[in-house]
Amino acid sequence: MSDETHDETSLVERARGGDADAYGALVKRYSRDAVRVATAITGSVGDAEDAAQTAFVKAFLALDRFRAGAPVRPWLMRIVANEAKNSRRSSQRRERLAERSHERYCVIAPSAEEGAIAGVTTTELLRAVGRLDHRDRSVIAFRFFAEMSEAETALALGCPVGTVKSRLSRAMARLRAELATDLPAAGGEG
Amino acid sequence: MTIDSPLDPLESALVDLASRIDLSDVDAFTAVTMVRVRRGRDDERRRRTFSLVRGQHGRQLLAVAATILLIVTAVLAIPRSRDAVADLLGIDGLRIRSGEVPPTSVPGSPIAPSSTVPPSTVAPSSVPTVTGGAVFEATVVGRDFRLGSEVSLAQARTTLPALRELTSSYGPPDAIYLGDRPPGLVSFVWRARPGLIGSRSAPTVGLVVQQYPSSGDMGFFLKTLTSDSRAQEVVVENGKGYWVEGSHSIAYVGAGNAFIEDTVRWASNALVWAGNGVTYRIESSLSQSEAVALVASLR
Repeated sequence: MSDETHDETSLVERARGGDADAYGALVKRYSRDAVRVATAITGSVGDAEDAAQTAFVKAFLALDRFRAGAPVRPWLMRIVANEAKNSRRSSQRRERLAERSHERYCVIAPSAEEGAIAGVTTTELLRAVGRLDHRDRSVIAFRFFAEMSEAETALALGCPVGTVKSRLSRAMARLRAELATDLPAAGGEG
Repeated sequence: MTIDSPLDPLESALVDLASRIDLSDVDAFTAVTMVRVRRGRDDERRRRTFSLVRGQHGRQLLAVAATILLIVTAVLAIPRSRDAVADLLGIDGLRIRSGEVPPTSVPGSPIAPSSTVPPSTVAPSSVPTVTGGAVFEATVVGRDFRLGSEVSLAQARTTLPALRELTSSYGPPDAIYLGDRPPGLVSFVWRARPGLIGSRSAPTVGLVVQQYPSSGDMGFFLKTLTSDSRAQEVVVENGKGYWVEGSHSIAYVGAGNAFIEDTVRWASNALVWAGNGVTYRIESSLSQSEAVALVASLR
């Protein structure tokens, strides 16, 4: 067991015992991953922030069901993705507020230049991800937004590693198709 | 970065996009999140307390009358610091400490199960029943709580001749187990029901009464308190005992401190005491006075 894994196990055990500080350390460690995954799912940094925070609350209340010794990140990110999905659904039902009055911490840094694909801005790419179905968004979010390994992604999705590969391949193909619809010249790499 | 193979342009674009999504102030975000976490935890506690009070309303008057059995001799607030070196308190066969949950020999699984077994004091039963949507399976409870094998009352008494039965209004236990850690461990288990509410860690188990011989070096249970639990020294049946309130974990430490069995978490209250070479442990969501009333019904 690596030091980091041991440390995580210790934090989880302490958090399970009601130690809020220990849980706070886990929140801090995975907050960036959480808002990135939630942004990929919701398509909005504002909704993502709410979803990530709500997910952390739900995870804390569900610590008793966490399997001792298991990796924390896939378990947390799965909860984040589910909560982001719920948030997206409710967001679509309500009138979305253009401006939010309270402070937000989650931001998207402006891009000074075009990204790796000619003609596709970060906003357009995020929108294209947002048009995918939840299964596709989830696997892309876990692999590229949280940079989770295939093994971690498999844990988060609850499927074999081989399924992660095939699911990711299909998701990427659909994403390319979405981008091609918007910008025929983009995504030509295949 | 855990993506090993070279990225194609679209994959690179996604990673680039993700890297642009950030938190302007991680500490502030964490602090705000933890406010919500604490609020959620408090809401959950209030919700549980409310349902507990509703369920026990009728029994509280009866329980109050029984409190004279138990005389509080000292109130010991266990230090809250998570770094505190263990302060071992205890009785024969059971130690209490604050601090970290002890390490486990094998990664343990969280307690999930749920509730009910047909009343059986004569023969084991593995037929599950459903109560309020939760399923109690005697074999699952025995396994998850490391209680041992399901046995009849007669079988349990053969191993522990000093075994006492509960003559309370809860009736006979729904399952009886015989374990070997420590040797001779007998556990009576009642499923959760109105008036016997399961805990978060064991939603289908309403009451556990354990008895085991505690003379000699037979190992002991190690009860580890959490930051929101406390132990109170009490006198039970003219002997030393402890009332433990709040979530805690239980591990079994073998004879000669040889090993530590996996820990089992409890989110309930416990009354423990020892007398005549036997250690008793009551785990439930019952209040202190209700637990004392149970002691009075032991025959």
